[in-house]
Amino acid sequence: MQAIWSASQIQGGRDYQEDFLGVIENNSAIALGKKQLLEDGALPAHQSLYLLADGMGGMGHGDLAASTVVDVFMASFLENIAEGLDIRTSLRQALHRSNQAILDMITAEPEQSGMGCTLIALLWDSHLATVTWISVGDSLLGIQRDGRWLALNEKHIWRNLAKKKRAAGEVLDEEEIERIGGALYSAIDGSELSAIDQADLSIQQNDVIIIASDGLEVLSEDMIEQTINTSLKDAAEGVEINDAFNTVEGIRSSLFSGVEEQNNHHQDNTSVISIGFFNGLA
Amino acid sequence: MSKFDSGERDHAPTRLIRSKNKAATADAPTEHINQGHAGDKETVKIGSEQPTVNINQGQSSAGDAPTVNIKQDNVDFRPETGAMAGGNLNPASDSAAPAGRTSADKTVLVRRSADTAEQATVAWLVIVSGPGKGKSISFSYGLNKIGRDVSQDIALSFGDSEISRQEHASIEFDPKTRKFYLSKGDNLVYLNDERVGAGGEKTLEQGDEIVLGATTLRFVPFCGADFDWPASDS
Repeated sequence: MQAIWSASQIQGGRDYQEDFLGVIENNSAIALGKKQLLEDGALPAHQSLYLLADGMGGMGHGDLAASTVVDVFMASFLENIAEGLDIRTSLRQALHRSNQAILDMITAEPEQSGMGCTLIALLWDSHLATVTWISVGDSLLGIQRDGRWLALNEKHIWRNLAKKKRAAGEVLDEEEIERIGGALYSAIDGSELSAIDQADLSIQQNDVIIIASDGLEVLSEDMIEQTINTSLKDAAEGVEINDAFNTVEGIRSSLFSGVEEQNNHHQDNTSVISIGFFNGLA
Repeated sequence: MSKFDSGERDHAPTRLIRSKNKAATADAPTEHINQGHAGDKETVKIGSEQPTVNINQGQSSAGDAPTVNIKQDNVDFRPETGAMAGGNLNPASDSAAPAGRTSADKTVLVRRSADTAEQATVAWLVIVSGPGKGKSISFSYGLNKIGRDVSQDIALSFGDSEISRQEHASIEFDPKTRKFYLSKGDNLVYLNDERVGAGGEKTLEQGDEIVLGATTLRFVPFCGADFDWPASDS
């Protein structure tokens, strides 16, 4: 199976961009505005790594946190793979190494304290036809399969945590939950990572995976599902690689169109990576 | 009001509230590894499908790849605006086709969307002493942040570790006044041996020398009183 991706960002109504994207495949690392060639075999040719970090806080140092995490995560992940660690462990250690990098920076320059970011890192292995991800924070990872949208990662926001606590019979300060419900309880900010989401998923032909920053959340899950379905309906049939590119680009751009149609003057930075899985492209 | 404390979720930038401050409400777990929506299973399964191992033996030829327009050493897209795309066309096997040499120049695509055309050059900085001596960097409209990180608009990534990673200083061309302005960022910057103070910007003239860390840059304008790009070109 072959994976084709398309990615881009909009700044929305913000005068800063705190989302950072990265991709490693075909022996190249694409991130932070550059494509770097890597040593042969740095990442096996049948694997691709996709990253998204959404920065926050620290007196405007969110972009520094997010770009650092993308940078450090990529380097650390490749080191871990080179050392022969399995995918899950490699992702996990790279996450902790990234968190340590933020702590080091805050220790050196305390005025950067409070900066941090979310992260989704997703590894595609075409031999196993499986994706493995690690996620911290509230960025969005989901899959469209057979016309249905399904969120894959757990969002580390207080509202979700409260839901679990309630289900477990705990009595909560509901006013407080209402007030802080949308805030994160876990992020890469140099502190202990209080929640990490990690899992595998086997991939089927014509699956579409979306990785996005929370700016996409102006669209409901139903709207995301509908937008992708509409986009897929318009997509050309066939196994031409050009058609595949047009399909994943069409999905990505129609999601952005959906965001723009919301006409939200305070629109957050929004980044989207759309990944389509195809068989027998030629 | 801080830009980080807006109350409305849809409009608020991402913020973090650690459990130590909220012990009375709902403590965050100390380290909880969630295994995905499917509960305890390490592998998430949607519906009842079995994991499918499908190793496709096909490999694309160079002619299949659309709009391959990358340079091998440095893809010149702006992460803020540029669209990029690529694919893993799954070479038959890693041993038959060593990673990286297999399809790097055939299948990795970085495409610009129509609205992200290269911005017009308004001036250059030439490194006249320090690491990278002899190299020049062009820049365009807007606030150009100077730093040694490659994310910077003017990236002095030639090994001068005295230059801040980000926002050491910045330069802006103002199309209204058709003048260039140098301003201080997070670190010391000197214009013709004079310190540029915080909050005080300096006008740049042809041949001015800017010192950041161990690097001296010479300023070479292209736009100015006698020329500016028409709005549609920029």
